[in-house]
Amino acid sequence: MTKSKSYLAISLVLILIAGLLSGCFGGNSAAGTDEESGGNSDAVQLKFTYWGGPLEKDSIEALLKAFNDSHPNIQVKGQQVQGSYIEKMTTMASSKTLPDIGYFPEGSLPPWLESGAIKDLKPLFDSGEIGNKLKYSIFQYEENGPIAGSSVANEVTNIYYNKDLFDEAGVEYPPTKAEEAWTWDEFVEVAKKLTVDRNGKHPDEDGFDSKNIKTYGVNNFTYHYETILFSNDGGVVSEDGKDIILDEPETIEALQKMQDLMYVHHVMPTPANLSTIPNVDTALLTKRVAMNIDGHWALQELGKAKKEKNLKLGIGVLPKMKKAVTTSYGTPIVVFNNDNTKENWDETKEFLKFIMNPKNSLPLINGGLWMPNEESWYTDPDLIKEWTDTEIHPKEFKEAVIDWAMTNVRQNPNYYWGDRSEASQIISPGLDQIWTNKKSAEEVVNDVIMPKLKQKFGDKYQ
Amino acid sequence: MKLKTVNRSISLFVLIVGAIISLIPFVWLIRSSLMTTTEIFEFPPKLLPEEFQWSNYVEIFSIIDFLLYFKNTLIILIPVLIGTILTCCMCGYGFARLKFPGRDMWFGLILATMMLPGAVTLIPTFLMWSELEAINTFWPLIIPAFFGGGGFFIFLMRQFFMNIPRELDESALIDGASHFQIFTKILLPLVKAPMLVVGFFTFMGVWNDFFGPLIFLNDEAKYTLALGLLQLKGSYAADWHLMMAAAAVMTLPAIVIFFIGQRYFIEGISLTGIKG
Amino acid sequence: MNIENIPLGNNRTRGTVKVKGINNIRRKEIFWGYFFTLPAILGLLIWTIGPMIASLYFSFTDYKVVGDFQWIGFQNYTEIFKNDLNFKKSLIVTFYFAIGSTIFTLAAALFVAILMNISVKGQSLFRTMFYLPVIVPAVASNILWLWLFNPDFGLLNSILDFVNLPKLMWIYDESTVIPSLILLSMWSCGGTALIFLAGLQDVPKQLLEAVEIDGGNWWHKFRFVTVPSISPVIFFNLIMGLIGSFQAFTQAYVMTEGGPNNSTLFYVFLIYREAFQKNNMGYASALSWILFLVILIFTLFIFKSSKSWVHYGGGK
Repeated sequence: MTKSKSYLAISLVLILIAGLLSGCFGGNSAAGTDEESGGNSDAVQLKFTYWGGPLEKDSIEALLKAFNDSHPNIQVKGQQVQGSYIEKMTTMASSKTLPDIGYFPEGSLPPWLESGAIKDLKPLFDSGEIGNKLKYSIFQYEENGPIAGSSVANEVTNIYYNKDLFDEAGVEYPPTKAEEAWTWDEFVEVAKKLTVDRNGKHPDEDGFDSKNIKTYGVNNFTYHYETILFSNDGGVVSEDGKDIILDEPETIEALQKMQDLMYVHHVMPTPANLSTIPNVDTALLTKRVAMNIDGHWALQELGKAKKEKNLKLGIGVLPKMKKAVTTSYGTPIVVFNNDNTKENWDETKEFLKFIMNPKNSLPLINGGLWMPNEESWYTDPDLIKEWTDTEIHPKEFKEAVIDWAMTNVRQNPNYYWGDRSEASQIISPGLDQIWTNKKSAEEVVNDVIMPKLKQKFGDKYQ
Repeated sequence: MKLKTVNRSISLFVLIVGAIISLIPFVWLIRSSLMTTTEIFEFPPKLLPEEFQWSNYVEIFSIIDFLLYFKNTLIILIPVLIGTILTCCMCGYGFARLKFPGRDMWFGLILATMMLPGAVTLIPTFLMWSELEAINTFWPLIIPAFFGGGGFFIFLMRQFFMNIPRELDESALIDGASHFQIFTKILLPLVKAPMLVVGFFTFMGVWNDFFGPLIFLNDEAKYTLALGLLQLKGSYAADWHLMMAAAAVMTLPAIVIFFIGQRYFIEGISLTGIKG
Repeated sequence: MNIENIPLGNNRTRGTVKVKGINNIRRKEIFWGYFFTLPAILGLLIWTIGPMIASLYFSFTDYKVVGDFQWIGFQNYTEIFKNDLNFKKSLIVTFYFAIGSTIFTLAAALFVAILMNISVKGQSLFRTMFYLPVIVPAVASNILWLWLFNPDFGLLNSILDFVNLPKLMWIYDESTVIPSLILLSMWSCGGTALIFLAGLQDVPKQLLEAVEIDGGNWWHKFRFVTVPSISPVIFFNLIMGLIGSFQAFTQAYVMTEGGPNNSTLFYVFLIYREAFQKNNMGYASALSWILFLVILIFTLFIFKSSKSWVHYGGGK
C-alpha cells in the first residue's frame, strides 16, 4: 500500500517536471520556428488574424502561401481566431501587441478607428491604389472622414428558393430583374399559395391550422428587416446618418407588414418557431421553407445542396414596397496602427492590396461564400465568367445577383453610422415586441423605442 | 420489511426514470454526430440516422491536427491537475484547521475576489503576463494552478476539512505528531471524495476551456483541443454534423474518466465512533 | 505578521514550563498555518489583488483600452445610476435568475446526489448517466433544448397538454423566459450534485441506523441526520451557486440572446458589451464593482446566518 503510494508520488512528480519542461521548451521552440519560418531573415514579418470555417481557413492559408511565395521579402503569418475575436483583439490592444492586419467585426469598428488603433486608409482609397472597390462596401463614418477599410467580400440580399415547391403549387418563379420585382401584395399572395399546413390547407382556407404549418412560404425577413424598410423609403437612419427615421410612417408601415406576415397571413415562422427551422439548405431541401431571404453567403451551402443533393435552387430579387432595393453586408480588413505597420508600410500595403484583390480569393468566390468587392467584376464579362462559371451559380445569377448588386444596393448603415451598435441595443429589444406580436409596430416605435433613443442621444438626431 | 421493499422499488423506479432523462442529451449528441446536417434538423425529429455517417468522424480528424492539440492540452492539463489538487488541499486544511492571525481576513479576501466579474480583470491580468513575457506560452494557463487553484476549490476543501472531528488531530498532537504529519497521514485520506471532485472539475475546466488558450496563445501550433475544435465552426453557416462529431469526441474521454473516477467515492469514513 | 522572526526552536530557558509549551504550540500552529495557506495568499497577492485594484482604478477613469485615458472621478458611477437605460432592468433580471436558479438547482442537485448514492447494482453506470448532462457540450444540448421549448410541438408543451395544463411560451415570452432558464440550469446541476455526493460519504451510518431503530422514517433520517451532517456542503453550494449565477450568462445568452425584449439581459452581459463591444473599459469596471458589492453584501449576510444552521463536525 505505502509502496504503491510512493511510486504514485514519484511518478506524479516526474510527470509534473516533464509537463513543465515540455511546456517551457514547447514555448521556446515554437517561438524559434516563428522566426525561422520566414526562410529569409531580412524578410518583413506580418501577422494576419481572421476567423471563419474550414473552407475559409483553407482558402486563406492558400492565399497566404501564394503571397509569401511570390513576395520573398515579406512573410505573412496567419492565425485563425475562432470564438472570442474581439476579446482577443482588446486584450492584445491593451498590451500593444495587436497583429498587423486582420478581419475586424464591423460593429466594434467606430471606437477603434476614432482612437487611432486602426489605421486610416483614406489615402489608399483616394489614390485608387487599392483598386476600384464598390462604393457601398467602404467603412467611413463621417463625410471625408477616415476610412477603416472596405469589405473583403460583398454580400447582397436576395430570395433563395426551391423551384420544386413553386412547380407543385403552380406558381411562377420569383422575378430575376429588379424592374420586374413583385409588389408586396403579389409577394404575399405567392407566399400564401406556398404555405401549407399538415392537412394540406393554405392560410386563407377554412380550417387552416396556423400552429401546424408544414411548409412556410417565406422565412427570415425579420433578420433582413432593414432592406424592406429601405424598399418603403423608410429605414432606421437617413442616408447621411444625421436623422433617425425609424418613426416615419413609411418605416412603421413596413414593420407592420412584416409582423402581418407572421400573425395575419401566417406565411412566415414566428420567432418561437424560427428555432426549429434548420439551416437554409436543409430548410429548402426538406421543404420546410419555400423562399428564404438571405445574404449571398448562403450560396455556399445552397450550392453544395444543389450539386450534391439535387436541390432545384432558384434565386430571385426581393419584393418591393415602393422601390426595388437590397442591401449588403461584409467584413472589413483593417490595418492596425502599430510600429511594425508604420515601419513597414509599403510591405503592409502590398499585402493589403493582395488580399483585397478578388483574384486572390477566387476559391472563396467560386465556392459561393464571397462576392468580389470590385466594380469591374460586375461589369466585365470575362471577369464575371471567371467567378460565376461554376456548378453552383445558377443561370439567373447574372440578373438576380450581379446586376442587382450593381444597381439596386442601398448602403447598409453598418458602413456609415457610428452610433449603430449603441442604437441597435435599444432598437432590437423593441423590435422583439413586434416580432412576438406583443404590440403593433406603431406602438413599439412611438412608445418604446423612440423615447429611449431620445434619452440616449438627446438632441443629436431629429 | 414489506414497506422496505416498496420503498426500494420506488427509489429504483425514480433512479431509472432519472437516468433515462439524463441520458437524452447524450443520445441526442451521438445520434446527431452520425447524421448529415439535413437529418439533424429534419422535422419531425428523427430518432436514428438513416445511414450512420461514420465519415463525420473521419472528416474532423482530417480537418484538425488532433494529435498536436491533444498533446498541447495534456501539457497544460497534467501540471494544472497536480498543482490544483496539491495546493487546494493544503490551503483548505490551513484555513479550516489552523489558527493564525489574519486567517479569516485572508480567507475572506480569497472568497471576495471570486465575486468580481472576470471581464474587467482580464486586461490587467493579461498585461501582467505580457510584462513577464509569457504571452504565447503555456505558463499563464499553468502557473495559477499552483497557487491554490482558485477560491472555489480552497473553499470546498476547507468545508470538508472543517467537518472532520477535531478529536482526530488533537489526539495525534498529544501523541507528538506535527501539523504536517496530521495533514498528510490522518486528514488527507479522509477527504478523498472531495479531492476527486476537485480533480474532476479541474479536468473538465481545462479540457473545455477555449477562452484562456485563445487569449494567451498566438500560435496555432500551440492551440488546445477545445480551441482547435472551434475551427470547425463556420462564420455564416455551421457544419452541424461536424460540430456534433467534435463534441462527441470531446465528451467521450470525460465520460470514461468520470466512470473510472467515481468508484473512489468510498462510502462511510467510519468516524462515527468519535462523532457519536 | 512576519513568520521568519518567530523562533521555532525549543527555548526552554525562560518562563514556566506550561506557558512555554502553550507558546510553542501556538507558534508552531501559526507557522504551519501560514505554511499551508501560503500558496493561496501568494496567489491572491500576485494574481488577484493587482488586477482587482487595477479595475477599481479604471472604474474612475475613461479607460478605453486603445488611446489615452484620464481620471474622471465618480462620473462612471453617476452615469450608471442616472442614465444607463438597462442598468435597473438588468439588475432585477439578474437577481430573479440568481436567486431562483440557486434555490432550485440546489434542491435538484441534492436530489440527484441522493439518487447517485443509492447502492444498487450498476451504481457506477447510474452515476455516470446522472452526470452526463454536464459533460455533454452546450453546443449539442442547446439545439435539443430549443426543440424541447418549442411552443407548438415541443416535448414540454406536449407533457403540459397531456396533463391538461395550459401550454406555455417558455423562452419566447418575457414572463416565462427566466423560469425556463432556471429549468435549464437545474438540468445541469450535476456538478453541484457531485459535491453533495462527496458530502454524503461523511454521513454517519450508525446515526441513520439509530433513527431507524427508534422507528423514524426516511424523512426523519434526512432531516435530522443527513441535512445537519452535510450542512457545510450545503453552505458551500449555496454560496458558490449565488456567486456563480449572479455572474452567469453564457449558456442563457446562447439560447435567448438577451431577449425577448431584454428580459434575459443578464448583468454580466451588460459589462461584457461595454468592455468589449464598445471598449468602455472604465465604465465596465464601474459596473463590475457595483455587482461585486451586491454579491459581497449578499454573501456576508448568508455567512452571518450560517452560524445558526451550519454544523461543522470539527466544531468551530
